[in-house]
Amino acid sequence: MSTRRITITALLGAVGIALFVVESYIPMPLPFLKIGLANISSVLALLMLGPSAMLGVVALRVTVGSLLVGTFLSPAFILASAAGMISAGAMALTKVTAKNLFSALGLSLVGSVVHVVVQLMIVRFLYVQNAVVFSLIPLLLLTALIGGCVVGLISLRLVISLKEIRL
Amino acid sequence: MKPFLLWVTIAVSFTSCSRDEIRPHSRQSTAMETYVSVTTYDGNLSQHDAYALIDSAFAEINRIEHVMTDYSESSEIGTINRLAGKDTVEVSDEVVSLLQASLSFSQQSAGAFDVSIGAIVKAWDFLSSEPEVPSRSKIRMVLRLTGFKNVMVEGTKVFLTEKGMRLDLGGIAKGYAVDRAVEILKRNGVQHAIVDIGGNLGVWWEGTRGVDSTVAEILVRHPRKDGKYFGSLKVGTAGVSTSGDYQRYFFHDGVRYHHIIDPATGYPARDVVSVTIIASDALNADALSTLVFVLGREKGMNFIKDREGVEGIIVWEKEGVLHHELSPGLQGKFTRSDD
Amino acid sequence: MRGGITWGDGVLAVGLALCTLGSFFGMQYFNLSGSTVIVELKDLVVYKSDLTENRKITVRGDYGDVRIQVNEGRVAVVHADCPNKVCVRTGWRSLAGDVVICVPNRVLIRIVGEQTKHIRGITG
Repeated sequence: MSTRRITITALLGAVGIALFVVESYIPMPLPFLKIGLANISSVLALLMLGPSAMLGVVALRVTVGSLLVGTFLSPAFILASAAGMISAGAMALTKVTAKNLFSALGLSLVGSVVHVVVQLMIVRFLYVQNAVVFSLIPLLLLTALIGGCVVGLISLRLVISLKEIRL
Repeated sequence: MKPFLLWVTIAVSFTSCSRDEIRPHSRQSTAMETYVSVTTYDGNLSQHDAYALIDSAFAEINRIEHVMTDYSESSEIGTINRLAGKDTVEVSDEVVSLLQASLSFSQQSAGAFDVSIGAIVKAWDFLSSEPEVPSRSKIRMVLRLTGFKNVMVEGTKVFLTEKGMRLDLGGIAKGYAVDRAVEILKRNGVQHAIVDIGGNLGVWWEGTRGVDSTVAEILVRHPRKDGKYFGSLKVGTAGVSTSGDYQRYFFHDGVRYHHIIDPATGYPARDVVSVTIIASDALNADALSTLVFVLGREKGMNFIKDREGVEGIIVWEKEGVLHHELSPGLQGKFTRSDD
Repeated sequence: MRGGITWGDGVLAVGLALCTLGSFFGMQYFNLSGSTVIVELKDLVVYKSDLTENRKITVRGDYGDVRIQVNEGRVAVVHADCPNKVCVRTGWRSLAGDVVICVPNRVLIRIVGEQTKHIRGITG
């Protein structure tokens, strides 16, 4: 593993943690609703370094991030880590199988949608024994759509910029 | 874990509240030999106030049950029955006005509705564990003890002329209790509520009226399919009631015997399967659903058409298939859902 | 990859937007049940469960056992030790707002949920 690779992984991990913490301060009407800004770091890691590096970045982010905001090992952490890892896996799988069909935007959308779906499943089957949580589907999908686009467009721009400066 | 669940609850209520501003408060219990449900839908009502008002509605229903029941010998109705053929009984204005309303229904329907049907009802005893068909001689006997013309009401004095005669307010008391409960809520400033006593509904929605409004969805049970619905309609402030041969019944030699007895024959009325009435209040809906059921399909529908502000659905069965007819004001407003 | 938005992105985004839009409308029509069965004995809640989860519940009232079955989104009293068995004859109930009662045993079975979606009364 090259020094460049290690450095960029660490850098993206740090950026992800920072975004994660910053986002936890952005007021949202509901705790589930998140733009998912931290996902920028995952998308960049996937595109610049590949799937394994991205999984590392995500693992680093959810662990250190939750330690910083004080939710480590709480249900919120279990939700965030499981949903984070699975959605990262989905993005990696999409990238590997679909090659260049999707840009950062598409990958980010895949990530955000899988994220909310996994979250909902976990909530339904582990915590709330009632199908009523499914009434949140429209709201969650809308957030995923908006969040996925925002994250995707930012990542897209960053990928180009970072290429220009030959990081 | 705990705060997390709280958030889920808040999240769910948030999504539902944003849809519309209904905040239901509801309580169910049992009274008058059936279930009772009182629901208010006022957004500005605090939970505490809503339940306090619902409780006073329940108290009113229980009070009426104690006055009207014929199971108790000491209730006003029980006393009239006990002293039938013997003595006049001084009763409350409430009982007088309810009896007068009943007698007026009797006169308008030539006895299809009869509050003096108690002896017949007792002979059939649909609430027993193994109801059976009474003998012909028994029916002949109880028929002689039935007749609204033998109910004497003068001022606040009531007298049944024959010994063994019994009043039975089963065809009107629940509707009356619904109206009274609605009145209590209304008088205390509740603007939206539904009171339900065993399927006798009182819908109270300020500023709306009958089948011209569409605030409350009314589901009509399927007469032949358990747990299914025959159809639905929408109403505003109204009383809604259904009399059906499927509500209390038993089979004997393959024949269905149900609780809606024709006072003229002493046997279950046979022409129709169910009658749903939408009227201005629950008392009218309750009494008219029984009355129209006994009158049968044609006479019953004519009776509905002749009355201002009354709409109805009559369901009958022919060769195992259910058919229904709507009163003119319900055309296009009832959606049948069983096909 | 040249770094621009691909047609795959476009298809995905439009597809998701349609799904989201659809889910908003779909929620109005698809009854995800969400209904809960509540069993009360003498005004106290003794049992609460999702209507979609099949269960057999037995509660003991003054006259004896009341056996309740929750099956495929419906609930019924399948057996009751009481004089008149009105509760058993009530049959299956399935909608929020529905009630099955056994008066002698003072058992009340209610279906609650999705109240915010419907202002509803059941007659008959």
